[in-house]
Amino acid sequence: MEKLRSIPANRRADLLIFLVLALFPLAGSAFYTQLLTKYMVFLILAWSLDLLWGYAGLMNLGHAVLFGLGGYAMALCLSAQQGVPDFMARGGVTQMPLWLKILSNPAAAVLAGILIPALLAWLLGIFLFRSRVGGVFFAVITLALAQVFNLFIQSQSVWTGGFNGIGGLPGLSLSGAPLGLGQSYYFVFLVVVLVYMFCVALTRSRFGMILRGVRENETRLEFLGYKKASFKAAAFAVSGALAGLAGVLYVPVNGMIAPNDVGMEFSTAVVVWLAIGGRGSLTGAAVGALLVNVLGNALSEQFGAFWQLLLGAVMIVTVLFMPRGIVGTLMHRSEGREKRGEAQERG
Amino acid sequence: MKRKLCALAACVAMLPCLLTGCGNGKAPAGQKPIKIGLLYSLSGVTSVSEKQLYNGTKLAIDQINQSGGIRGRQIETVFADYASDPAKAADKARKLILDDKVTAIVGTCSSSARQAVKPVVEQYQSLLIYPQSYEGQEHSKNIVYVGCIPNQQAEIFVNWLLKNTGKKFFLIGCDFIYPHVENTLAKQYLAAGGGSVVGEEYVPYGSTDFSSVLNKIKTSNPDIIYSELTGDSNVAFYKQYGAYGLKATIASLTTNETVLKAIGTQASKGSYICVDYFKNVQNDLNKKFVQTYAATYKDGTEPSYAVMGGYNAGLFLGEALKKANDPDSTQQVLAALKGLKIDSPSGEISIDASNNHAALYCRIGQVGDNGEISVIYQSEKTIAPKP
Repeated sequence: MEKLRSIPANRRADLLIFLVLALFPLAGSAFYTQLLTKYMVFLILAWSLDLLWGYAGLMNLGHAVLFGLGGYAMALCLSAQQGVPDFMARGGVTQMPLWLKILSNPAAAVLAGILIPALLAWLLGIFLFRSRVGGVFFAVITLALAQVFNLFIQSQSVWTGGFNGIGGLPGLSLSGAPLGLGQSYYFVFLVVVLVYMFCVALTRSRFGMILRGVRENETRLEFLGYKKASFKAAAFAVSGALAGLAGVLYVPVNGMIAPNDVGMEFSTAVVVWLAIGGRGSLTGAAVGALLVNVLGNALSEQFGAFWQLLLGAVMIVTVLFMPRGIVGTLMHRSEGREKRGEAQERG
Repeated sequence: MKRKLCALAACVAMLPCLLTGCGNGKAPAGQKPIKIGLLYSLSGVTSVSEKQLYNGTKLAIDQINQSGGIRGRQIETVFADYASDPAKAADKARKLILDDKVTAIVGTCSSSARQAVKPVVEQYQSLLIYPQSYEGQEHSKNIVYVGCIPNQQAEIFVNWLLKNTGKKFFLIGCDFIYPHVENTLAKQYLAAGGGSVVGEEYVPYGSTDFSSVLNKIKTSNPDIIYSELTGDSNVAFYKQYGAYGLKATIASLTTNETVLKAIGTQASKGSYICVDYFKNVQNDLNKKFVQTYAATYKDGTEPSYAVMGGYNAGLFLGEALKKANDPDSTQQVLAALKGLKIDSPSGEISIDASNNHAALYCRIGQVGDNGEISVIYQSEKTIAPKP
């Protein structure tokens, strides 16, 4: 029991969430198991943004671009399993280009889906942070990036399926054998747990401390001799790799990917999950991603046409009264109380 | 407080239960109702079209229920809103099939949404009735397509325009599959009929600035602007075209009565539209339908080909449920749909058993000075679908 108490409250909360996720398929229906598989993929995406925004203080309004790169790499791979995909054939493509042949190997697609977004994030980071772009300017540039990427995907319809996206893709399979619903669920669950452990380790490491330093006081960090641009670019790259991984998993789980999933709208959605759940604790990201998606689904079933308005109202109320997000506010209050308690003891 | 955080985590952890605890409206006591899923977006970018499809389907099913239902059993509709997001459409279709156990689903509007739902209905051997006109080139044994396809619409339209208006065409559409396929076909029809293409432009979906496109149209001097613009882009194009003052006439495959209200008469008069149904189709059934529609819906929508697509989908489904021995069996309903004939306000139409598409009339209308569409051409009989 003592040992359990020594674990921070939010980590215990994480454990509880994982416990429920682990048990859900035993009680839940097939449809909701499938839906929750998708939401678990969103957990990875939420954490990847939390590393960047919550820990390093860099709000990325184009996070779905990194997710989309991973997603499209996987979608192209899955659609090219039986030769030239339909949407390419419609555009007049008769032979598989070399890059698609390489990408049609699932292992290559997974690697590309993780490395390409990481590389893009790192390069962007180097350019932006060396030239001291930060704060709201970083947000605006990434927002523009999301819009550009969305238009690019839509305009290159021969290679990307355009507005309609790439659909009808097979589900998860391991060495050729397709996984069932429960198997897919637990496979994704396993990946989510691994990513979580990685994120916790990263934020506790020296690297994580430096990132928090970047967020709190950049100048002091520079005086201490750290090259903050390199650290920020590295954080961006790690975040990109995880977002790409989320995209790679999303495509077989979802069966399709479309420009909707890579543009401004979805990027903003990820930011909203974090704004509602709370930043810089990983727990907040998980709570936000699950809460918003599950609530959105439940509201759309109960209230028909105006469910998005209700969801919007919930968001506004949260941001107005809990600007640190739900988990952030709870943690902040508790810290305040502990400090007051200590002060009284001393007094 | 740590307790508080744990309590919160517990709440979040309970969320999945929220997922499972939702029920839909219960049907009145008596015989078990037949469950049908309605999968439409009443929110999002395609909601203007889908509201009309939804109204049509809902009206058809309500009328069937009022006149005694299916051998005494009522049809219970389970509605799902997919917010114009294809991925969500697939999710909701799965929910309707697995959790609500519906006999069939009526719905989806854009080709991307239909294509997202296709693998789902195929996987679970379910049935989707697709109410919208589309570009053809698809055949799923689990989908019945009741909207018109190019050989029932564009082919006739292009040849009619060549004969009656002019030879030089400017092709314009939003940048997604449907306009690309339609325009590719239009080029084939034009080549065969002796017409020419003087320009071809695609704008991003939802784009509303047409100044550069209008300039290109002006310099290429076409007789006809052949358009598959949809949604906001369509309305904006008509308005800017009206303000710009071009002599070419717009010929559209996608404009309808509801959209015309948003465009206004000034910008649209004289333009041509080709679809399978107009509000002003002359027959007794349609007269009654238009009256009922106006009495039922006061939401700004007008009876249009979109409303009729949704309505026909409901009528076909109702007849098939009556014909099937066991209306809860999707396979029997699917079998009953093949070759099925119905009397609709758009005429006597049927489902082609060989390809699951509907045989429909082709009609061309022109917008008059009063903003009403008058039917200036109607095919003698229904045209067999060739997807």
